[in-house]
Amino acid sequence: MSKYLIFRTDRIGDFIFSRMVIDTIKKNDPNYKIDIVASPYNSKYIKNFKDVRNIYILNKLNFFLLIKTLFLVNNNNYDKLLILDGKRRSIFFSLFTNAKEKFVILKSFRSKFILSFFTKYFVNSETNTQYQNFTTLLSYMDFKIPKKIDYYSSYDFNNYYNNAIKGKYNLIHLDEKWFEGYYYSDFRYMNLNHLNFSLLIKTILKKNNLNTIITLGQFKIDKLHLIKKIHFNKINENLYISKEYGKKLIILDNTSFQDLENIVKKSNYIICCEGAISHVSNAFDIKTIALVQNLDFGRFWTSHMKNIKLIPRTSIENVCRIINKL
Amino acid sequence: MKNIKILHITDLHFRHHGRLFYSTGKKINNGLILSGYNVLNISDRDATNQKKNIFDIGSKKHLLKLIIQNIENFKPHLIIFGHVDRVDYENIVLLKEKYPKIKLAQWFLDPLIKNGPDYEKNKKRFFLKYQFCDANFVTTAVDVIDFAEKNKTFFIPNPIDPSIDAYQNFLEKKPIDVFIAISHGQHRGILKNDFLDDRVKLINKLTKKATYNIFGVKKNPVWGQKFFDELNKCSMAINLSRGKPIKHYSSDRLSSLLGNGMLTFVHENYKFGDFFNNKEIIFYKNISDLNNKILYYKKNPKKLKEIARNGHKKSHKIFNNKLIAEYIVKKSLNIKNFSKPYWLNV
Repeated sequence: MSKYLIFRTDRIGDFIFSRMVIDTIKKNDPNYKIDIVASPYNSKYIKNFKDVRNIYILNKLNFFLLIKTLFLVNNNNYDKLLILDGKRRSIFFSLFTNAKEKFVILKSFRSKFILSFFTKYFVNSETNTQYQNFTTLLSYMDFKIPKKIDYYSSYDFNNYYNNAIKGKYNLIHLDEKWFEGYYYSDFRYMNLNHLNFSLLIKTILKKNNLNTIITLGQFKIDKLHLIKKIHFNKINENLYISKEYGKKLIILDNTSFQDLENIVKKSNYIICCEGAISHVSNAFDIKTIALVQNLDFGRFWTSHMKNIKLIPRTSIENVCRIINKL
Repeated sequence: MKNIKILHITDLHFRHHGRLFYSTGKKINNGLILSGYNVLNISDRDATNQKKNIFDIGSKKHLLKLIIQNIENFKPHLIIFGHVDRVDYENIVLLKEKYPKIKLAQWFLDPLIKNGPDYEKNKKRFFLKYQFCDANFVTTAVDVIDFAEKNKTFFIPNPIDPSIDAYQNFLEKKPIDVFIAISHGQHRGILKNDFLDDRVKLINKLTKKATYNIFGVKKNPVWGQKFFDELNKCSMAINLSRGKPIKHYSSDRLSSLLGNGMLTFVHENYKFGDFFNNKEIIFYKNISDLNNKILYYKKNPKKLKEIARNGHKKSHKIFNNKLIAEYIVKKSLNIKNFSKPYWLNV
């Protein structure tokens, strides 16, 4: 039996991806105890996984919380510490912990002195896929990688949408990655707007003539607001129905991530920007078109996914042309 | 893919002046050339040995510079690493990021299982390149290695090179019965004073009714042509590797014994029965079984010659260096249409 401490102090999608590490540990070491060091952002989500025993929040801005967390961590005498996020804050914090073996996957910040405190480090190089980088670490730890990863083992699903939505449907997830100004400034954006929105919907319905649900991200985006106003009738705060297609095309607004997971789980076809939703869709083996910054970057994250097609984020017109050819 | 260019980085032992002319690196290299590939060599340890500098410990920087110069001039499709420990992990990252289109592969001859000798040390050496190699080749069955991923780690046997393993000892009566050679410190060439070798216990229990030509116990190991001259005096040989038997693992000496037409004794737990039957090689269970079999074949020279001949024929066919080299290249470059070697099917 070993006690593991895993650092994943970033986004929800990164944590879902890292579930392959947790699932591998569970299948190789049945008496596992796994604790997570999380960010304030993803910690609430991680609580839904019953196989995670403790969650510590790493908040570098709160010194007293840092000291308290360090005290709690060191009281647990972890056998193996794994930094999967490669963040400096995680690396520095881990230096003060008493874990017996420390492993890290990181991209930059490869200080020889700092890394000498680790049992083994692997470089998160984009010449390999992230899945390969993780399997290398797990192999080094003498773990056999399971043939099938169960990303959602011991997950507490929210069942609300299980009953609310019936039948087959397409899912379009419109998050901030579709619109410039809400994500990384050096990324490419398709600039979806109320004018090219109709083309996108027409293309998707031509491809797969099913009822279609649109879900939204957490950001309030002006262009999305305009799309809702022009193309949809508001039924209530959470539901919009298309003026052109009626109930065949709806927007479900104000969904939590757990709601989204349920909607993804039941869907037949997904169009989204590569991220948390495509990781969820992979976990449920659902056909997905993922829009990516570029194909190499997309493959870095999705090489292990069997049911995914990648399309570079150029213009909406270009994206629609490629969807038509698929 | 036509005109495949390969940069093969391995110790070719130039500094040993011919003492290790039959090394596995040389045999694989010959196999690559015989297969028609355009092969360029860097003998890493010779390179680091020639240029020593107090500001470049282990001559790692010099070696990296040499590799980059060779890549720039030669533009290889594939780089094959032998036991190149002087290229550290960061240098492998650098090479992969600088030349992402070039495929990387490594072959690794030392044992890689938990109860085998030097496990932690060998694992660390293997992992220097493992992450960035498109294919890794080991001389241990992959299914007994805990950490190897099956989609990028593949078994290869120790190669036999017909131009090197050219003797056919079964053709004539030999003056000595059994040849045994063990060594530790191939690069040093002489025995270490304080090293206790577990194989010596078995050697001390061998029947006194047979005659032996033993090297590496009390007598220093023999190298170069002298190794073949001594081997050529014997009709039988015992293949002894360090540690407990590991599936399909053997020291590279096995290829010299089988490949030069000796009746070869191997412990059955190495599972070489997957490749050979008992009309080609002799399996033994324990020391008393081994002693009985040595005496039996000593008294039955006709059977001895027949089995040695069969073992020689089979081993030259299935452990051939050209076949193994071809397999390394095709697997590394993900070329699918090639005839599968015999040992892939077991």
